Amino acid sequence: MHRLRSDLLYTLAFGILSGALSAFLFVRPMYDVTYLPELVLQLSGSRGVFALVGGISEIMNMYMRFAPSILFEIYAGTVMYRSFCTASVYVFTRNPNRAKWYRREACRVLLLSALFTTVSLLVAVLLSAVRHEVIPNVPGAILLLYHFILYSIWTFTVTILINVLSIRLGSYNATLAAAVLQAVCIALLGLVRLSDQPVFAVLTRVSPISHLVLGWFRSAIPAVEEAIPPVTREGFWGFSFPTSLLVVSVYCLAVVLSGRQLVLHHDILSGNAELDGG
Amino acid sequence: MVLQAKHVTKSIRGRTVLSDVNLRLESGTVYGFVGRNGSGKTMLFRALSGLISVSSGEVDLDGKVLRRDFDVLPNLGITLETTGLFPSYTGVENLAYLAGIRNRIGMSEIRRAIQRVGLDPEDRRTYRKYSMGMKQRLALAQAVMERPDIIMLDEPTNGLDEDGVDMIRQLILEEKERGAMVLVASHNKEDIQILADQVYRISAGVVSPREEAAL
Amino acid sequence: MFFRSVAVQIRSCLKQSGSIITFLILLAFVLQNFILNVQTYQGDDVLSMVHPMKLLVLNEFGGYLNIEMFSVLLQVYPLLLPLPAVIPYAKERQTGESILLAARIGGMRYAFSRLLSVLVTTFIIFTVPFLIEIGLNCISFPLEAQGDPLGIGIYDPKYPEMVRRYLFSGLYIRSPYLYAVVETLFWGLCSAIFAAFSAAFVAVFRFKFTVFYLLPVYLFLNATTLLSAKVAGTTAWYYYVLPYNERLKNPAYLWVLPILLLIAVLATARGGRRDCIG
Repeated sequence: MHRLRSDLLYTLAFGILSGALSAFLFVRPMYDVTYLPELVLQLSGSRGVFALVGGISEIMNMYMRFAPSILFEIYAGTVMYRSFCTASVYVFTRNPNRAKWYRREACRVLLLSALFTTVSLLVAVLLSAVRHEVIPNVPGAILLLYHFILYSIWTFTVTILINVLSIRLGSYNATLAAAVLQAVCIALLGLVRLSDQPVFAVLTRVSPISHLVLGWFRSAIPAVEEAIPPVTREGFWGFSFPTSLLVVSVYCLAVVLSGRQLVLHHDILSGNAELDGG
Repeated sequence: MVLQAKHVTKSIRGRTVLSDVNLRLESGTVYGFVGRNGSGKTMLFRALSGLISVSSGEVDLDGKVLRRDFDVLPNLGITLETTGLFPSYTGVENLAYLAGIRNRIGMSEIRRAIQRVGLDPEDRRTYRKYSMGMKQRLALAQAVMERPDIIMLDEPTNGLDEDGVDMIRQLILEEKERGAMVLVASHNKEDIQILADQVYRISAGVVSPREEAAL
Repeated sequence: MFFRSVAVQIRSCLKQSGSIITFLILLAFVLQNFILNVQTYQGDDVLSMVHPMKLLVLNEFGGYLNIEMFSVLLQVYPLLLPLPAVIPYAKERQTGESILLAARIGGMRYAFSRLLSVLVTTFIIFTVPFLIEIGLNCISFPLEAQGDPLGIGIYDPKYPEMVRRYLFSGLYIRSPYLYAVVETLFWGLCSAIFAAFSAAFVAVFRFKFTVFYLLPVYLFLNATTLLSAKVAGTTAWYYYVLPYNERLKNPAYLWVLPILLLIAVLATARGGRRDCIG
């Protein structure tokens, strides 16, 4: 219980930090007034009303948007892993059903990821409302929901990945591996400028981070479609929430299921995986 | 060579772990330190070796004061309960890394030290795959491989089988014959009775001499 | 004995998997950039060719897909910095092997020998791959080429203004080849000092998970990048550490490296004085 409480407190702190940074660094409305859709789009890569088009400064800006969540992922990446680090023998002799243990811990990580995203978004919106005039509307609320769902799933995916990789590689190497993967996916955003070439178009669509750029979405809901400025790029046909949700969920499921197999088949040979791994 | 502790006291966060310790230790002798868990045996070794500073008093070696004239005892071999070696290195690689610091011995001495403690120098297994007894043996090998003048062994027979215990006892006696000053801390009375020329009891950080052990 | 201890530790660090992985990752960046440049400029006339020293991977515009690879390098750089030498140092403290080393040379000497080994190892790992690239470019591309990847000709009035803003611009004017070598060595030196800053935390603090030791340098470097979003682009670390950067620079930044080094030295002195309790 004590551990859950400290996990929640840290998550809250990271969420507040993330939201504050987002509000101060990425929400820049013209004339100090912004509509909620524009605010949400800026939180996921847009610059003002302009969608991300792939220059180095935009890629680095996108990386900066993920920097606070990486801090959360470094912390939450030890939530499951720590049971393998101290007295793992004692922990797992008391949890004979490892699959059940994994499900419980994965739910804990999911809860923390959702809480982090919620707090981050809330703080970003509230701080922006304090600093500027934010005009809420229904399309904005829908985009906010899209943002919450997609970013929660992605944060959860990366966090679980770090947890399970740590069991084999140690916390540092696991974090490095996950960060490199995420960095490559962010870098692939730059390929949107070459999306008239089929190979690069495919790579852009395969990268999970592309599906987190709400400014690239098209929507069947007319009000939402109208709220998202079009990306004028030769050969670029955009994403949609259902497709993006499917893609991100597939990656999530792959990581969760692989992690489950790894945990189930891991031999507890040492008492402290951190010293013996990596 | 004479190692002296004069009115040594050590406190950590208000708790006294060593209290007014006075010792005079000479080369070519095995000193046994007995005491319960948490009595201060390991702390005493840390203080005598220079790994920790003392709150009051001093430790000197042949008149030179520790932590003033030198940081740690020169030519010391030590094992402590809480120390380990590099998990990804083999036994030979671990000892070669440590031996490279003083550069007094070569690979042949390292291999001999490993054999002396009953391990195989050709073993390619990394340290992380060693059993507790093997880890203990390797720790002892690193303590004696450079033929130190002062050897401090904290619970040296922990985790060892019967053959291992006999081997360690033989090793300690050989080092004493060589002229080293050997300090052995143990809660095992049999070890102390067999090995020690002089025995001290530690209780709550207070060191007092026991009757001299029969040779 | 002190310098022997440093030499032993450097040799040991260079053989560790962390050093090898870091070296290979950096070499991969170099080789992919080199190969892509060879493919792009194959058969081109020397008059239209870009100067070989401006095709380096450390140049933001050094190649065809360099924007993407450059952004990946910038993102993973803070994570790679501690890997060769700082993480082995942290593990040495965690396992207690540091006590055995301190028992041989003294706590203070051990701490400073470790700091020196961190500096030298990181310098070597972060310099050699890029020096290799300089050699490869000298062999493979015409040395008479004078072009600039931004398309600014040497007779363009903007060209001297751009060159004057480079760090060590005087050296560039004398010899672009020497400039490239010196800038690469400077990059290695900066990397070494950043790693030493991380090592300072190992000397003073004890974290259960080695991944937390990457936080100091990660937070510092990202803070400089985040600040640049607010402070007219003069604070991001890569504007100062990388070659061919023509953005306006703040001279106060030259104090940052000595200050970081001083922090490392002071923290090491503090750590070296502490009791080796384990």
